[in-house]
Amino acid sequence: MTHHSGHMILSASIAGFGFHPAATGDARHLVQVDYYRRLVQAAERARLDFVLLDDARALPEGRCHGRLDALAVLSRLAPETRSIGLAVSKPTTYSEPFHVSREVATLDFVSGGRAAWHPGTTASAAEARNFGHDQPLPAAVRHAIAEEFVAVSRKLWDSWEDDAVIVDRRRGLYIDPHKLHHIDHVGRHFRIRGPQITYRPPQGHVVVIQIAGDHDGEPHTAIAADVLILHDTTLEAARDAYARHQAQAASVHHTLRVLQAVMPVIGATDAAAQARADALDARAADGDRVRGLRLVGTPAHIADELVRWFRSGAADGFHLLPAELPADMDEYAGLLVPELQRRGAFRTEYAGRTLREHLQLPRPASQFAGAPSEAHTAYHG
Amino acid sequence: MTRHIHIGVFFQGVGHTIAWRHPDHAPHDAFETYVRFAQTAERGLLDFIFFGEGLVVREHQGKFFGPIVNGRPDTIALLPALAAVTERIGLAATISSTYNQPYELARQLASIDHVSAGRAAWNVVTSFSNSAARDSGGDQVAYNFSKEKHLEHATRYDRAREFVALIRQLWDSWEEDALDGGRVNAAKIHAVDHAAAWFAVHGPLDVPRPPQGHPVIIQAGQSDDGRDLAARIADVIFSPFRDLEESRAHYADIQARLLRYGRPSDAVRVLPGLAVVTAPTEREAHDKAEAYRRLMLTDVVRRYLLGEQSGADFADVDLDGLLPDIDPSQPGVNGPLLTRWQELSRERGLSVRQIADTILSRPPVVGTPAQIADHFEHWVDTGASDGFLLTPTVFPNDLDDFVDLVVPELQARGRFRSAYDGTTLRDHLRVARPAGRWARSSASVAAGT
Repeated sequence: MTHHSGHMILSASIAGFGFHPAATGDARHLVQVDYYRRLVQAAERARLDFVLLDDARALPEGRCHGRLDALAVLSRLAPETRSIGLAVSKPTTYSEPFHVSREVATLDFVSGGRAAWHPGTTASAAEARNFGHDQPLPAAVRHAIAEEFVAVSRKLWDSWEDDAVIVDRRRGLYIDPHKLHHIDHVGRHFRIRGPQITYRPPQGHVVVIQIAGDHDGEPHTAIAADVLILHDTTLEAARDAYARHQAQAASVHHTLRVLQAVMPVIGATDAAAQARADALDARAADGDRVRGLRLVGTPAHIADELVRWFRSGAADGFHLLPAELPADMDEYAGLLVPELQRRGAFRTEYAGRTLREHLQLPRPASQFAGAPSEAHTAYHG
Repeated sequence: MTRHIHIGVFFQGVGHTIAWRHPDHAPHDAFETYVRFAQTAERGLLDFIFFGEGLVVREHQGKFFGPIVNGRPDTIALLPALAAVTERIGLAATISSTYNQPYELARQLASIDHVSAGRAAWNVVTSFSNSAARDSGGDQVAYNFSKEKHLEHATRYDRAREFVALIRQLWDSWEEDALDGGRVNAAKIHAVDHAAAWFAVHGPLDVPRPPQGHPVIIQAGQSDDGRDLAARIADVIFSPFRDLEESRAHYADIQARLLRYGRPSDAVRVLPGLAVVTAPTEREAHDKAEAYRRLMLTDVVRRYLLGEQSGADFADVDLDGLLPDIDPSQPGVNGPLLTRWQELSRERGLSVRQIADTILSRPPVVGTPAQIADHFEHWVDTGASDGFLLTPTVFPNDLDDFVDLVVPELQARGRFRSAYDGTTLRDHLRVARPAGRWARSSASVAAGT
């Protein structure tokens, strides 16, 4: 099923000083809440569906700047925002599903149902060496781990049914013990009994985001993501990919939102935008190239292009990769989004409360609902 | 000089019998409850709020039980959100060193310290193997982490010692001034190159040094290994003692161990757990305590908790009789615990119900605000503690009462702060900020030597 509202989805990555290799800034800002608050609040002003905070598990080689744990930043900003989705990058390669699924469920809890999770893989040697490995795991193993990790996380989210906490003072029941479930997962990489120790997330399942070609150059849609971000550079390729992924999802009755990644470089005139792009490119080191689609021009020009792609079936929306932060997020809110709104292609107010509502994704039922339970009857008064 | 009194408060969730049945008790599954808890504690100028950890849903013989509280949010993900709704209060998380990786936890705790401007604390636990684990023939906690068995006690502490030493190295891997001028000075960021029995971590951390240098370290272990670890690494020690003499002996023991590890005698704050029930008059306070006592346990819950703790089946045991003969050597049963109960039953002629009430409910300290303040002063002034970790029974009532009645009394006596005089948790606790292993070399560089 595709996204039918007539409005595109818009999201953005936030990390470092932006995604152009030449982007720079004051390194102290990257460990300050104020910096991220400014970005997320600008994104919320722009009515974006969600922001994705990138993360990693080692100091980046070359451009060596510090960062903060993405979960800590987004949880810190949840009470200071109302509507915007908060997507956390939390890798699967050297982690425990029991911890990670609970952490992102709690981000959903503190944000009132606005959490998403990008379960990436950890491919670098530097990261491997921080987790007891000399070499990164082979790509096939990383992908297999990620796939099982997400599947088992969904089981753990489902291990408490929605209405397990009943607080029935009259009957003396805090939980309905029939609504907790052992998941008894036995897979190739994980064996987990469950249940999880926290409640089902407000959204049922946290929104799962997959980025095609993530680090590794090969898409792995088998993870059954809710949102898939692609990096096509031509309209034809994007339409083909979109049709293929949606057909695949439809064949298993899965609702999928497909976004195309794009780096807008905005200027007051097309010439000014081009000059800005050229200046950035000139500053970037040789070999550092921007991946995926880049749109250079006035806000009106970029909005026309996005609408053209959206209305010709190339995507359900776009995932913005800001060239330079924090400046670009202010331009999205002040310049680009108003152009999209004028074209009737983007919301002017948030209609829903949860991220699933923004994305028009169904709220999944627990896979264990109605399954036999393991309640103590011997002790019932 | 009178000694400062330090007060933390524990969010009683899982494991807190059935106080949730009180009509005023706030829901555990609403974020607003946690916000109110943090803001109330901050209104009372307490040192910190504290959350426990359990890595399994409580169950017995593989089955779930309705009447007790189960489920809690993840503390690592909760504390940053609570940092957003408070300004000064410390934020303490209990995290297992047995089921985590040092690099991941180092960056999580460092990040919480950054986003809270220096208010993070870590209660280091090794995760206990509970009776429910034994009665299912393996270990329930381990079953949630793709493992067959929990680590043995001594092994867990061995891992914990290496874990803590390594995590401190990771926090120190950035020098204080590595970001001066807004540019990263790569010469001031150092790999840790750790490779030992449990962990191999190259480093450096990708998060700059936390505002507190190191987040505050808390330890609560009572075994010899636990006390030893505490004396080596802790800034705060939680203790379970209710008896003044026991608590003094514990305090003295910790002082002796601190000396052994070359730490100053005032390097740690020892805080026993304490439930306080207070009201303007003694009569009201005792009435309230009696109402709580009746509310806390029912026969159904007594049977369940006796079974959960011992691994034996109490479903059909006569609660008014003496403890029946249960073979302490049968599989799944906690033999030593059951033997202690049997001795208690025989020696004191206690019924099963009385045994349950003795072991399951820890009586609170009950009295007027002045009486409670007397208790605090007496313990702190006679070398039994540096304050207390409050364990409120009914939330929000008991924390409100403490903040509104007891805190002003302690302030009037000049024994408790009337405003936060610092910004970090280390400031509140008056424990030193670790200098970091590169501090000396930086100083030499600065001095041009």
